[in-house]
Amino acid sequence: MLESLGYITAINIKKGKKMETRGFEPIVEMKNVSLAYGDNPPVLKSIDFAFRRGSMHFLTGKSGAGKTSLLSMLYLAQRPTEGTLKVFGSNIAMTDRDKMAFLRRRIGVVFQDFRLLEHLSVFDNVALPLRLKGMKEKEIRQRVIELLAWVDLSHNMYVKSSEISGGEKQRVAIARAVINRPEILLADEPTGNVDNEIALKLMKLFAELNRLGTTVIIATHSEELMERYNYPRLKLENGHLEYIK
Amino acid sequence: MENFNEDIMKEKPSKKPRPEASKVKELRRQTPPTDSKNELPIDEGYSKTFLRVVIAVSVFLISITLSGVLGINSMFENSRKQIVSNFTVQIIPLPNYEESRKDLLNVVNFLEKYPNIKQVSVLSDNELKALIEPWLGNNVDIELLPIPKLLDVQITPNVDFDYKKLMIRLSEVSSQASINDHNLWLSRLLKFINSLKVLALTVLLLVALASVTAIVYAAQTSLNIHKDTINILHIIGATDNYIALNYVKQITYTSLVAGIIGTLISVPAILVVGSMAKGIEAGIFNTVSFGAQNWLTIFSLPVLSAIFVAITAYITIVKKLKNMI
Ligand SMILES: Nc1ncnc2c1ncn2[C@@H]1O[C@H](COP(=O)(O)OP(=O)(O)OP(=O)(O)O)[C@@H](O)[C@H]1O
Ligand SMILES: [Mg+2]
Repeated sequence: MLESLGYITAINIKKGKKMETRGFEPIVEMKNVSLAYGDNPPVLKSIDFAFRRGSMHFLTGKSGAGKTSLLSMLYLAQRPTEGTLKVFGSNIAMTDRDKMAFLRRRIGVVFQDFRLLEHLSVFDNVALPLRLKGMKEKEIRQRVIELLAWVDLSHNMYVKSSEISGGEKQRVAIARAVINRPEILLADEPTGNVDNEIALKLMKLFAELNRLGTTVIIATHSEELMERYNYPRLKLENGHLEYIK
Repeated sequence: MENFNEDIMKEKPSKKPRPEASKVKELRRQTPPTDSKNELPIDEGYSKTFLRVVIAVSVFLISITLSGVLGINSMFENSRKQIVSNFTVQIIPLPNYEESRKDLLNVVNFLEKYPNIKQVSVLSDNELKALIEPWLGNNVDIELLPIPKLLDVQITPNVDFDYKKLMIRLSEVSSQASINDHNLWLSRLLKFINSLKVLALTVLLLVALASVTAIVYAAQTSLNIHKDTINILHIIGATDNYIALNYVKQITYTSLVAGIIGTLISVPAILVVGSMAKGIEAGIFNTVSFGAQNWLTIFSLPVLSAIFVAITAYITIVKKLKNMI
C-alpha cells in the first residue's frame, strides 16, 4: 500500500477524530453580503449563500467578476462591507484577532498567485501551517516529506521557493494548503499553471479531501474542468452569485 | 480508501518515478540544510545595519558614561568621607591679649551652636608648641606670641555642609576667623562632580531615546518591507504574537551581538581614562577604584540593552500588527 496521502487517513483513524461529513450544518454562511474596495462601486452585491459542511463547489465567472474577492472574504482576509458572514458559526464582524487566527488555521488557501514565502525553501513553506500549530519538528518532517513526494517535489524540497517553476510553485501552494487537513479548502485557479496530467491528479486530491470531510470551493475559468467533474457551480455575474445545477 | 489512493498513484505523471516508500524513508533520513527558517526575514535592507550601528554606538556611549559615573562615584564616596567630616578654622590674634581671648571664645560659642557641627576643639598650647617647635625651639611662651589659634571642627558626616554660608556668618562674628579654604575648594569640587553626574544621566537618557527611535524605526521599516509576508502569515493562521516573537527573536540576537561589540570597544577607552584618573589621584583623591563590581555592570550592558530592544520592538510590532489584516 502506498503511504502518500496515507497520513490523511492514518491520522483520521489513529486519533479517532473523524471529521463530520456531509450534513446540513452550514460551514460558511453569507447573508446579504456586499464588498466594495474603497469608494468604488461594490464588486459583490448582496450575496446570500450557505455552504454545507462537506460540500464541493466550483466558483466561476468572467475575469474581474470577483471570484478572488469572494474567496478572500471566506479566508478571512477581508470583512464584508455590508451583511453578515459566518464561518464555522462565528460571526466574522464580532470575532477578535486571536480567534480569527485560529479560525484561519482551519482553512486551507491556494492563492491564484501562490503567495509563497519566497525566501524560504519549498519544505519550509509547506511546513509553515504545522509550525504555526506548534507541531513537533520530527512529525512535521515526516508529513511534509510524504506530501512533497506525492506532489513530485522531492527533488527540490530544499530549493528556495523563488527558484522553482510556476507549475512547481502551484504544487507547493497546494501542498501548503492541504498539509494541515483543513476543514475548508479554497483554491483559486489551482490548475491554471499545470499540465493536464497534474491538473487531473490535483483534482483527485481535492476530491479525496472532500470525501474525507473537507468543504472545497474551487474558483476556475476552465469549462473543461467543470464539465469533467460534476460538482455544482456558482457563477458570479455583475456582482451577484448564481447557483447553477 | 486504499483503492482511491492506488488510483491516484496510477495517475501520477509517468515521466517521473513513483515515490517508493523506501525513497520517502531515505528522504527522511537526510539531514535538512540548516538555513534560516525565519518566516520573517529581517536581514535585508539598511534597517538592520542601521540598527546594528545604532545599538553598538549606544552601548559604547552608555558604557563610557556609566563607567565615568561609577568611577567618579567611587572617588566621591572615598573623598567625601575624609574631607567633609572635619575642617579647620584659624583665628589671627588681636594685639590685645584679652580681646584675642574673647574673640576666640565668641567663635567657639558660635560654632558650637551652628547646625550640623558636632564638636569644636581648640588646639592646646602644647599641641601648638609641638607644631612650631621645629622652627622656634622649645623655650617659647606661646601666649605671648602672635600665633594664630587653630580650631578643629567635626561635622555630622554625610550632610551637604554649606561652607559658604558658614563663612559669611563667621565673618559677622569675628573678623579674625577664617575657614581653611582647602576644604572649601574640595566641597566645591564635590558639587562640580555632582553636576557632572547629572550631565551623565542626561547623556544616558538621550542615548536611550535615540536607541528607542532606532528600534521603532527598524521595526516599522521591516514590517512595511515585509507586509506581504506578514499578510500571508496572518492568512495561514499566525497570531500577532507569533509574528512579533519571530521578529523580536532576530532583532534581539542582532542587538546582543552589536551590544557586545560596543562594550568591547569601550573597554580600552575606559582603561585609558582610568589610568589618567590614577595620575591625578595623588593630588586630590585618595582612591580611584574601578572594581570587579563596576566591570560586571559594564559587561551586563549588552544583555540589558538586548532585553530593552526586545521589549521595545515587541510593543512596536504588536501595535502595528493590530492594524493589518
Ligand atoms: N485590492 C483591490 N483594490 C481595489 N480593487 C480591487 C482589488 N482587488 C480586486 N479589485 C477589483 O475587484 C474586481 C474583482 O476582482 P477579482 O480579483 O475578485 O476578480 P476575479 O474574478 O478573481 O478575476 P480573475 O479571474 O481575473 O482572477 C476587479 O474589478 C478588480 O479591479
Ligand atoms: Mg482571481
